Amino acid sequence: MIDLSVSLGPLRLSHPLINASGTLDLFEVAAGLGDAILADPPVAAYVPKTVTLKPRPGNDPPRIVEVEAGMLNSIGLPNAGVEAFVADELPRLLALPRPLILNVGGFAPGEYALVAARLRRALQLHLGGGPPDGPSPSSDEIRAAVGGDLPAWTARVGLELNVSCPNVHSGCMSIGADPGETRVAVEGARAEWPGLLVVKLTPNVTNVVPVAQAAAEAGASAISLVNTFKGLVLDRVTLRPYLGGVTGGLSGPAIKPLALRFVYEVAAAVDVPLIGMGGVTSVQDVLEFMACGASAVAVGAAGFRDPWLPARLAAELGLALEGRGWSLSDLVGRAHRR
Amino acid sequence: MAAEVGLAARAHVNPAPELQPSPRTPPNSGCRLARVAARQKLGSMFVLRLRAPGWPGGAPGQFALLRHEASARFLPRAFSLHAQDGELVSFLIAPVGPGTEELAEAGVGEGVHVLGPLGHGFDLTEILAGTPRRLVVVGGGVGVAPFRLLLDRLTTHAAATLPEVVVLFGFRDDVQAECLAAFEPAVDRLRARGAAVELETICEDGSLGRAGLVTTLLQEVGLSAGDAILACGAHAMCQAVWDLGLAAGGVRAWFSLEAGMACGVGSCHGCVIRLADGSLAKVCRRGPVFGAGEVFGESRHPCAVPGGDR
Repeated sequence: MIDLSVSLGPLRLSHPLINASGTLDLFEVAAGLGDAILADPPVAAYVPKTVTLKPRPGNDPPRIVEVEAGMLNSIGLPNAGVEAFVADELPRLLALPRPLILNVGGFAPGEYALVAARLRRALQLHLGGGPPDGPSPSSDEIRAAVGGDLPAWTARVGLELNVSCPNVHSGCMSIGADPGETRVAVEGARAEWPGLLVVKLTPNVTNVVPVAQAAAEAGASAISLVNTFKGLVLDRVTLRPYLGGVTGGLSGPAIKPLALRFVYEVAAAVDVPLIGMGGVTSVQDVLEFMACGASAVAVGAAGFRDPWLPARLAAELGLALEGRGWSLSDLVGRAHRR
Repeated sequence: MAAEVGLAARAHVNPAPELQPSPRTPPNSGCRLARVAARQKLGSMFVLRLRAPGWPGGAPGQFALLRHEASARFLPRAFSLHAQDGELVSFLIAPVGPGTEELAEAGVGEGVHVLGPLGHGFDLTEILAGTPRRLVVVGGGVGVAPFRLLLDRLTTHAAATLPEVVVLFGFRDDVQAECLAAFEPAVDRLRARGAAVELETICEDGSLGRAGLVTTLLQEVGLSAGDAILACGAHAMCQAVWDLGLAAGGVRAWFSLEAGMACGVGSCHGCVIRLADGSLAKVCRRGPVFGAGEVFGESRHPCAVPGGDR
């Protein structure tokens, strides 16, 4: 039996399949279809929807539209803000039998650090590892922690910085499109967060490599890519923009070759682990993202069709590797080796 | 709604839960691969009957997401439950685009992915607890779909406990109206149990007699205080129906609404509509059946709610 486990910083995943932020709400699925999904979530680590410093209602409807081989969304990061997240969401998230990767959005580079600090304090309260309301750890302490002396809770919870949402009018994607702003955002969050720090990049740039390098140099312990591609759909009759947010983010199989290119290029340029995503619907897609250099793979829009898809792909990945007689390390990065 | 998982995760008192999934167990998916048991064409619509192993049964007004296993479309489509019998579940579908046309061509034995039952339907217990004077069922076009299951459910109530049931259906033309064949047996069964049931139909093009909208029938029936309306159809129809309810006064109403949706389970936040109080609500989770007041308000001002069709 093939060992499918992967490590992302201090998080250990039993297999490489997770969900993309904003595409799977385990608690909503459980409310509609039963609690079984909470007892055995179909992901190796669970990534909740983006949380921001302040509450956000999200964009005006309509928010989604199907296109050839995919869909556009203009959701706009609706969430109740980090204070409500800490009070209402975090306890039930911590009761899930999986590691978590909390996803944070921001509208100025400094907001990521504020949210990261708030989440760290809450986790110290819930899981121990320091006075909840004590001072922030010094950067030396963080560096020491990242060097191997991490609080125990960092094995349960990582952080992902969404510097790539195309559906908000300022910040977020504009931060992730600029290596300098990305560096500031990541450095700020790194100073507040001792554990796994993932930076989720946008493909809406001319060259993603400088942004990925800036993120890694600023302390990112992993990089996830890609977020959605900014696009536009018109109302067929009125020929005006269909989505309430005017533009939206394209996801689905249409973007898979584009996303593979991004993963391939970033894998060649940075040394941190990658979480690949963009149009994953099948085990073949999982094999291809991992061959391009991804250590883990996220299921996004295809999870809308079947929330249990990541678990099925993990099982199929094990069979595919067995069939080829490969280990995971034979697969990851294979496309770069001659 | 599921219970909150709760505060037990505070690790001061509770050790970390086992983080790893059980090895190699096949995923216990809630998404079923059903098989087409029958497909019956009824004018411009069709009834798709699926054999869905383990189908748990749903309430009238609940829905499911369907996607043919060989679909060339990315997303499933949402359909109201039309009828069910054990693991057989039926949907009344109008082929209006590529996703519905794939289902219209599905052959017996072919696979269809089914996710459901989803959402909140018509709560008959709550509606009947208000001891309505009449149940006024209003359907427009393929919006009639959920009312077969509703009529079937009413037959499980003692006739003496039921108010008069007035069913008003509006169609574009007589071809669309052929789907009435899917409802008449349910009406007959309800009558046979001693319930008072009236069924009236009208077509916009006059092909079944005079031309008119379902609201024409509703005006003729004459709403009055104590009536309870259960409606499903285009947004403009629902708005017009509620305007008549408000004009009559003392009328309660529930509307099954439609919105473009990706996941049907509340994950994607894609199907939100703006309620009368300005807040946004997911049609898939809070609905698809909403109380009239929360959607349209209690005063006679039109409130724009974007529809789901592009």
